[in-house]
Amino acid sequence: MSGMLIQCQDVWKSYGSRPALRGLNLQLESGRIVGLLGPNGSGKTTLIKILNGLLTADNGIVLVDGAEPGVYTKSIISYLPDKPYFAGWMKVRDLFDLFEDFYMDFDREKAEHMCKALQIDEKLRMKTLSKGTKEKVQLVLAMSRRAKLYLLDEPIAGVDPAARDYILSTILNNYNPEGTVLISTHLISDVERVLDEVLFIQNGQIIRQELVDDIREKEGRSVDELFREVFRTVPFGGGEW
Amino acid sequence: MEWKLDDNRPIWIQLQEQLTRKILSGWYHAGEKLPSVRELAAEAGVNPNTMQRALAALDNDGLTVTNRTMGRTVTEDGAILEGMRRTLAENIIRQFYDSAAELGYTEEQALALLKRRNG
Amino acid sequence: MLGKLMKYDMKSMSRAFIPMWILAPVISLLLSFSIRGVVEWANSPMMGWIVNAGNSILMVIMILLFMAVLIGLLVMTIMFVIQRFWNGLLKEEGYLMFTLPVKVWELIVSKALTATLVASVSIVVGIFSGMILAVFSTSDVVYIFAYIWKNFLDSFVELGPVFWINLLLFIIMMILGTAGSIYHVYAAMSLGHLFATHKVVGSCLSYIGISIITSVVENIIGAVMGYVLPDINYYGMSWGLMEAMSSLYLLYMIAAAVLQIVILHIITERILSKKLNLE
Repeated sequence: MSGMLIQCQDVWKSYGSRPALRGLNLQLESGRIVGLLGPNGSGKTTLIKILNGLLTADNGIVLVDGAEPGVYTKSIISYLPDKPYFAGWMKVRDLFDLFEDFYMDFDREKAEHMCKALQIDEKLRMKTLSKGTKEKVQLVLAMSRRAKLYLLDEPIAGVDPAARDYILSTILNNYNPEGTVLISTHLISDVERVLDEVLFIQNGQIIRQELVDDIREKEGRSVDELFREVFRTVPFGGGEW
Repeated sequence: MEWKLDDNRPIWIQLQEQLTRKILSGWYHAGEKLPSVRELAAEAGVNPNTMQRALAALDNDGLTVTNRTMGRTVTEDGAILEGMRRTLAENIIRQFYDSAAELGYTEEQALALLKRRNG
Repeated sequence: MLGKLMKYDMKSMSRAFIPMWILAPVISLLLSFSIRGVVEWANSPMMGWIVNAGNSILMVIMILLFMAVLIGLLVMTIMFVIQRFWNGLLKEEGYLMFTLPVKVWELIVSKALTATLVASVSIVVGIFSGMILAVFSTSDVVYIFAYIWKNFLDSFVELGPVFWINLLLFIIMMILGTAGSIYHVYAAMSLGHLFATHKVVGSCLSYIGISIITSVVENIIGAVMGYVLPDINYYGMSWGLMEAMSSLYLLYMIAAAVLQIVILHIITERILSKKLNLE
């Protein structure tokens, strides 16, 4: 199938003897905001890291914009990791320099503007910043690119509701509308409105892929409610109630 | 005007309803240019594609007109606005009678109640 | 892209090393002066033991400082080689580096070139500091300088071009040898990265493994060479022949270092390209 931004076919990955992806299949189009939803340990981060090349799959086909993970795919993917990835000595400004040097699609003016709006001093070194500020800098870096694919790993985990709204509106206001945004999260009710499409991932497989409005139309309930039902864990002691 | 979205119905339908109300109530007046899809989406905190779908539905209803130079504007056709206003009013009345019926009132009784309240 | 990568590796390196490179010769200079002070006081008829004692303490402090700087330079260099690769590529910072649109070999070569430069300059600074100490701690600085200069000029006249070629080959061999050691560490860490758990232990074992393989290969080649080459009797050999033999030996060493670098680079590059696992 051509024209698909992401194509995964029978992708397997395990860490030692611990399997993380078990024959995952996925096709994703351009121009969508997609939620990658699943409980902890379901394979969300593994899938994202395979797409951006930080992990190599044990087996299967992974194509991003028709190419295997490599220099080209890295040039079109903007990645927001789930933890800070900076060298402590770097100033915010050094990171802008670095992004400007390596990514053709990096919009420095936008990044500086966002920093100003967030009251982040570009002259500060990363190691002097608080955890929250570091996360904001990463968000600024990720969203200042005009990427074809944004991979945002848990962008709203562990922040307060006000910050959550800010992050979501930053994503909405800055992403490239021709690109696709893949947001992994387990906090569904917070992101539900901004999503076109959701992927439910469980035990290393995509078990459901649907448009949010289709779910609401067909099931008459929110994605959050559906998620709770699909991933309901049987209470310890068995399900005989 | 705040955007209120509930969880169980498709978001685009809710956006369409609220935009329709904004137009009919004069929040956006006839001939006024609507903000861009992106701006509206950001304001409502929703996906631009969803907002696009809602706006396309407004175009379909004739409430808005998309014009290459002007962007999307509220229609200046009074008949369409009036027609839509009527439709919405009828829906509200229908709901009123339905709710009254659930309580055991016939349409006549319900109407009588309504008149007495106003009188 | 390699140039841009090196720009950042150099930047992170220079912050830590430039102060050390300046500090080492300065401290050795200060030390040499304090040694001289002690010696001169000891020789003076007006010896005031208090002053001398103070000077001795100063000298001891200076010696300790000098040792600390040299050891610090050594440790820092080794740490730099390991840390810039381990933390910079195989830990969180690797998230940034491996998502840049560059080839994996560029990441590795950038690190290796920077590390080789750091190690080489540190070695030179160490030697230079030692020379400063040796020269300035004696009173007759001027005399020694004159002596060295004269000898230098004499040698320049006396020594033929082969000597200078050999010196150049020796420097190249040293630099390549340093790069080889750095790649040895890189390959070991890459192999350690393949371990699902205990990556550090895996790296150490890999380091030892590579050392064993290298020395076995060297011994085999040495044995073959010894068998193939005619028996050489160094005794009574002419200077010219000795120089030529040295050139050959240096060329052999350079070839061996290049081979080591190439093989270890390929191992490192293949692992980080095909088996990268930044969990």
